[in-house]
Amino acid sequence: MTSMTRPKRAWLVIAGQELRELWLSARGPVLVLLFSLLLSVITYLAAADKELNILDQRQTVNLVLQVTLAIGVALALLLSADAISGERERETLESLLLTPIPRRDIAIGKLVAAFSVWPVIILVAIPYIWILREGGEIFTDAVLVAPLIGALLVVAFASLGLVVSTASSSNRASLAVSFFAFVALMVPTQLPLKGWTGDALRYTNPVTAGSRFIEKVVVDNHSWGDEVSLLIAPVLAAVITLTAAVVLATRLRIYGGFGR
Amino acid sequence: MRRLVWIVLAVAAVLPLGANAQVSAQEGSETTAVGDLRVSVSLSEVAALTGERFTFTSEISNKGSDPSPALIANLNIVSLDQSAYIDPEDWSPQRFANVAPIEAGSSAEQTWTVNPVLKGSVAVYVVIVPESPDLAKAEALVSSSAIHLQIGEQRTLNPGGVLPVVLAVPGLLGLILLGLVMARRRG
Amino acid sequence: MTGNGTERGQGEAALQVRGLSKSYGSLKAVRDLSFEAFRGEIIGFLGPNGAGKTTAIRMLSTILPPDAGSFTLGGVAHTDAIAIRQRIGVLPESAGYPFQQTGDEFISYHGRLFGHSPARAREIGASLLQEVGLGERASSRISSYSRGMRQRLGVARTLVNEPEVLFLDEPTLGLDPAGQRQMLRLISDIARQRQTTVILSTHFLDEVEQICSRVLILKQGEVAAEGSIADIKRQTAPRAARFSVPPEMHDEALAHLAKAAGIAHAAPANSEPGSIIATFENGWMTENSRLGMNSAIRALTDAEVPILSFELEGSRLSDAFLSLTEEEPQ
Repeated sequence: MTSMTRPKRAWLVIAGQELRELWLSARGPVLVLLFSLLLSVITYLAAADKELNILDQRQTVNLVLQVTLAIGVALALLLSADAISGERERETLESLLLTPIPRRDIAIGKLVAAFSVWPVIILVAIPYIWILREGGEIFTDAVLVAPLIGALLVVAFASLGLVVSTASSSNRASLAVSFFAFVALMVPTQLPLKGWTGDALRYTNPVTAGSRFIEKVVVDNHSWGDEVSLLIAPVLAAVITLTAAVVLATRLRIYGGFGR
Repeated sequence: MRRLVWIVLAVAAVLPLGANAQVSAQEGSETTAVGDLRVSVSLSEVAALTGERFTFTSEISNKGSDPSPALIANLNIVSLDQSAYIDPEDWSPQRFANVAPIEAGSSAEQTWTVNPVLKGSVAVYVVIVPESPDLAKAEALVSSSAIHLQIGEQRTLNPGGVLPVVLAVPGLLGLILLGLVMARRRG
Repeated sequence: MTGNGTERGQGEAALQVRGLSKSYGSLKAVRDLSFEAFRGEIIGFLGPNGAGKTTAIRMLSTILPPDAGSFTLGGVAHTDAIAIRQRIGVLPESAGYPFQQTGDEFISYHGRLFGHSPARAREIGASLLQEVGLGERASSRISSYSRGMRQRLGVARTLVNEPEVLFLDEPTLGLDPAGQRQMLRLISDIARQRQTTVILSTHFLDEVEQICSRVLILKQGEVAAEGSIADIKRQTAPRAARFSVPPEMHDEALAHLAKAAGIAHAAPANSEPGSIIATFENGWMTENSRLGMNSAIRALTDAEVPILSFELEGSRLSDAFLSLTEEEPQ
């Protein structure tokens, strides 16, 4: 007799499988290991500079946080950019579309896997922040502000990656577009933003706004309330892109684009 | 009429001199020349390792008979062996000090902190610059003698005690990865 | 595997298709496709490349929305895509597999996607892998499976929800003859034992002849012919008959056949003495049907020329396919 059921929380089934494939295979752990090696090098050099008083303690911790943020966001973006277009290219998407699972649940399950990168990355970063701190206050600020900002930006970028992946007919195009978007939004964090145009960019670009928020709290010891306006862009980016990813997923097709 | 012209010419000839004299007199009477100032530093030779901060003082003495103008004392750092590029901001948080006019016969002291960040042979000195641009370009500036710094490299394998963490975290993750790979091969 | 598959079932059709159409821009991939399929039937979808077979299957499996027309599957309208998917199993032509998963992980995962509990999904997976002959390789990674094993894995996946209708798009593609035989046997068993309706899309006409009860021949998106294999064959009359006679009687046989009623001309079939091909006059076999070649046979037997063997040309499914589609069959 035909099975007339479908899973109650289908996204959970998808997410469970994606998480197993990411973390129980070599893929996820290799990425995290590479990240920890990078962080080890940066921490060592930053500590050496701190010994020389080129960097002070807060600047050192901020450097580690900014690198952690950039890597975490990049990994989440690349995972989600591969989520649909990669299945399309590996010809495994059709069998997924042939199940009685709503398309939206496929998207949510894939996003959960991409989001999972962030808590792992921040957990790995905590020992480095701990060893660089010289006082409880910096550590507390760092481990509260960085996960929040990172979570908002990871949600935003992973959702963006999924939208691009859903629309792309090739995985190469999806990864290229996603990576370009990442670079375009990251570059302004390295530029001196002056004048009204600099201010506009600082507050509207979720990456520059989030990065600056971390800097203001950790380096300049400002309170969260002083800089709350910098949270607007990351929050809006997360909400808008996540909504777009879930809504557009209902139009997921075997070929790229958003068909009927 | 001719006498009037001669009087006018005589007054015109004398007036600028008088004015100059007046300015000179003003200057001469209000501030001393920069050349009457002397700068000395409290150290002549320092041997240190990178990261070992030290402080010294500079003293500006007014040897003239009038108060000095307002001054800027500037800290300069120069590499003597061109072994490395000196970025003054890395070596000292304080690049200059504003000095109020010093009474004749008096002196003023400034304290400086230097943080050697690179190894090598370095000269540190203080130069005095009048705040007034006219005075600054009128005569040669006054400088102290140099403090000779001989900086050795501080070698530590464990700056800030981070070495255990930078080794342990990737080491632990590597072990976890190895365990996963072996489990999958067995499975 | 015997005969021509399962007989046509009774009662309401498992699948009813009415006027299904799909275009890609100006290209009409499927035009006005209509047919019915009953429980336990194996229906062959035949057609050259680009005939619309895969597009038709994708519409029937809700992967692509039709531009026009409708279908019901198990009484469910095509507009209820989720309900349709609960009732079907599909093996796509280009099905990929996650190489890092084992066979049982793969089947269990799809069992979960169809609503089974983890334990039940594992149980079903083990049973299905046994059924398709992969029981001993269930815990091996898919990357170690051969092409034939992956195809069988794909068939196992299509059965996790015990479907009413199974769509198999080129299931034997890339398999060796033994693999093809195994696959066809498996498909036959599924249809017979589970009373599952099977839509088999294939290029291989001999597969169709072996297991299908009915055939749909598609050409440029349209149904060129539909019916039982015998019906399809009858749509094209034989064009010639090939005789084999003793080599020493070759010339005598040629002479008698040339004079037989209904024979346009007789000639050596090849360089081998005794092998003769006798071409019928136009319309002769259509008008005379099965009796049409009796005159040729009588001409030889009356002359006491032994007939070692004979075969009607143009009576094969491939011949019918050719004449209907004007394409080279496999």
